[in-house]
Amino acid sequence: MKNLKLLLLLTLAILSSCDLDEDPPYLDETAYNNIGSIFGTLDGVYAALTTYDSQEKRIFVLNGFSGFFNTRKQSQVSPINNVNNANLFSLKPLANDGDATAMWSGYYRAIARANTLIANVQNYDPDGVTAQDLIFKDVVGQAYFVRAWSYFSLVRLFGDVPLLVDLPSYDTVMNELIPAKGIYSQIIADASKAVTMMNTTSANDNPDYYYPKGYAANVLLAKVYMTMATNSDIVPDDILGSNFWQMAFDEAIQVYGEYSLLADYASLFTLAGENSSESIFELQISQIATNSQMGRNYTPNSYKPGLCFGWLTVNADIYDDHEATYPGDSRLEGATYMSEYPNNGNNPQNVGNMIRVYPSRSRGNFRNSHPFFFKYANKDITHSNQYDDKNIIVYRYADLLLMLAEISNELGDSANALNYVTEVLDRSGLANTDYANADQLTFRDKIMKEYRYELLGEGEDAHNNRRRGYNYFLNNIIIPHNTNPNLNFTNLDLILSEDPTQVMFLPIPVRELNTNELID
Amino acid sequence: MAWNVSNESFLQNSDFINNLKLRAGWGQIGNHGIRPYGTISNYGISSGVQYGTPNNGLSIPIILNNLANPDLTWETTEQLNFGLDFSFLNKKISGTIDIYDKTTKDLLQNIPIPTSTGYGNMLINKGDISNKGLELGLNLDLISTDDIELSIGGNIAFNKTKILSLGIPLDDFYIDGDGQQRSFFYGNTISRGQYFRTPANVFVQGEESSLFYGFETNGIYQTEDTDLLSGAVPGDVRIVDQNGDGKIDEIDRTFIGNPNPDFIYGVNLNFRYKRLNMSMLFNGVQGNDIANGNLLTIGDPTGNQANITADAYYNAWRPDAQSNTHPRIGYDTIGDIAITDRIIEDGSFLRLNNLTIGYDIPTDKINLFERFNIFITAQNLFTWTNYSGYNPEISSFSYDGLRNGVDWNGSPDAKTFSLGVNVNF
Repeated sequence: MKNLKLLLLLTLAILSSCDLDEDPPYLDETAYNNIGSIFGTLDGVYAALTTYDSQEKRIFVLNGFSGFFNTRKQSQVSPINNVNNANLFSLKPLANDGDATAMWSGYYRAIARANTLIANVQNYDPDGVTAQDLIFKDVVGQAYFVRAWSYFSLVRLFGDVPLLVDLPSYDTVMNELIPAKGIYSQIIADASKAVTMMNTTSANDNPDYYYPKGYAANVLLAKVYMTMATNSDIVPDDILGSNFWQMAFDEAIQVYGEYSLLADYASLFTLAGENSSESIFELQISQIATNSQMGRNYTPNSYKPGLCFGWLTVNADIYDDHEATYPGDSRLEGATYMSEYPNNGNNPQNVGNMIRVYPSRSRGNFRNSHPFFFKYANKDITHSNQYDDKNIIVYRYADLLLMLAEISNELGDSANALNYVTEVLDRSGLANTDYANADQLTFRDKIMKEYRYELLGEGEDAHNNRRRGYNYFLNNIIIPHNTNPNLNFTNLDLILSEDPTQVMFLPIPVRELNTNELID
Repeated sequence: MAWNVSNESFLQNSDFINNLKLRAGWGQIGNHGIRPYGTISNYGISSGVQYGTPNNGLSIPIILNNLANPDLTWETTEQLNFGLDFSFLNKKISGTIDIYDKTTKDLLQNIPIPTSTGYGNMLINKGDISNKGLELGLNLDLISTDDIELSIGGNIAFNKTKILSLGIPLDDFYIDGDGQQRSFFYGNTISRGQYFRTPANVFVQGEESSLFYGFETNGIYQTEDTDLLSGAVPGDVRIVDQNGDGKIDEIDRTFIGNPNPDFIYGVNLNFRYKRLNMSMLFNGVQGNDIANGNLLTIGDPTGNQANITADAYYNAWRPDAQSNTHPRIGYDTIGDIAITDRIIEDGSFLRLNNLTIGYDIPTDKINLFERFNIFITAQNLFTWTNYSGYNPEISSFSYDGLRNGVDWNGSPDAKTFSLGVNVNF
């Protein structure tokens, strides 16, 4: 009996022995090599671009730093003097700008996710042709694309920035600033890989496949070369002296004809216009994914029930110029701008009252002197959720056509330059006469403005305005605004800085300076 | 290790000394505070990380949630301690004295890291810190008769911290405009809102822990002043240009306060007269500074819709009524790159934390009860302090060692009164 008890005890002891090396309840890097979870890892990369930092804040900063906008955010009694208008929106950005700080971390979060994916996906043959090889190759290509896009955004806004391309690791948290040309080298390398690795057809094969095609990387490369065409300071040494307009053309022309313009411009900014034939690079937003408060932040005040902050209003002179150039353009009220609508907000006493701002009324105080920017507004006047369903388009075909027009004009191909811009104007029923009669110089100035008529607020204005250098920015955007006799700089309109040390770049965020031992 | 001196033959028969014990101790303890699997990469889903799909559905992504640090180890504290326990005069006087020298190595910290890594914080072992201190406790049984009892007890503790090393390279650090090569890092940013979007604390090798770092100020710019720095207008706060380069920037920051107290103390008093009894408990802190972040919103006449103090409004600088204490109407600190000494206040206080008065109702004639005591207790009854915030015993960020001594939206401590009975059957 005693022996039996001992035996039982021994058996129990063996069976219940605890293993200190138990497996953690986490996945490991095999998730990146499993066909069942690989798209989950890719969605992690794209989800990084839809965080509040990298989407809502990005749009706020890019537009604030374009010289075209002002804001009602943090506006109380004297909104024209609020911290955003006084600094970022007047092109006097501060190193502790909270929105720019958030945007910075948003871009780098996306880069870290892309780095993680690129480092961890091992289980495929890049030259292979099996279904699995092709899927993994595309996914890795997507990560290269996101990394290139993020660095391109950073380098254009901040200049020299830290460059991280490896699996995030505890022993590489401090990273020095790399000169812009080094960042551009990486962007070209990544985007070139993306062009060869990303699918160009699968979107048609599979309706559930919602990632950009390789053409998005061609657009990105074309934009990179266009930036280099007018600024030799950022050109990597190994390609100095190249014909960048030609290189930009060679990339952009790959995309030509692969997409088509939506017939109805305004529908681009509605749910009906999601993932359309015009969309080249689009972020997937769902209310149940709670990955966008764009509608909350950018819907005009009281346009719908629930929160609508109406953060962005467009400088009155930008509206005036558009209206004067293309009178009656359907892209104005209800598409790009909103200046008159019935109150449908939370206070029942005010519902039905018309809300009017300039140009639907004369300019009185700061808050009613600028039209709302309407593209990212939630158009559903019954919608009361603070999250949205509306996707965010980052690159679209109209942009590519305008790029081709600009590039062709620079290359001296005036006939094709005219054709490309005409395609864009035709959609809105506008005549191309002024372009048809323009010499190269006039065409250039016109096409640089055409971007804003077509693409205002969609994320490229800040870059396009600076792409041709300080003097172009000063003479074509800043001074025309600051000297516009119709504006009232006493209390209705912002004066833009003309200081070359202020207007071209955002300062590196203080938080980065405070924590990064390798940046002074 | 202890030596009970009072047991020695030369003291055994002493009427004066009842107990005298000398103690000495050395020890080493570990604190790991590392959550399970904290040293390995955590791949998986994360709350709040979701992506949409074209039919407005939901995708749950897989991401790398942390920067794993495989080098993490326990932080260890080495302590050398000397103590003395004593009681005299029939134990009417008793007490303890302790002095200690404590060094904590490999401090475990969730430090802010550059967001260019894609992450905001990382758990690391960084630095050694020394704590040296003296603790005294004394109890006096002053009166002890059948009718009256009175005893008083008190304790006081002095502690000095010093950062011995931080394990990070030397860099330019500015004190009073003077650049030095020091090893340092900043605490966590206080708020993500408009105000106080900066760290308050800095951790510098060779200094006390978590000192306040920011701008020194010297009143308000007046209309007749001719030395206004670029960008300043009369009515603005006059920030001291420490290095005299004509502009205010990061390198004009300096030490502006110390959240570490000189000492903390407590006193308790017990009194009984016949059936009436009373006890009081005081606690206090002396010599610490508080960064009162609430002053950033209510202490400046910002001219927006938010509430401000009457003082900030009535004493605001006006061209026709210049003030040297409060800035002009419309002045705010939104966008400021550092805090100023205007929000640093002396946080010393003494608080009557508990007062209880009770009465034992005679129970001789009631067999049911052995004791029937009714009492009234007041908690947090009085606080003596010059601190202008709601409560000098601040609780903001009490979980965060990188935000020390900062009062940010702190709530007042309620006074509590309770009436009760204690019944023994």
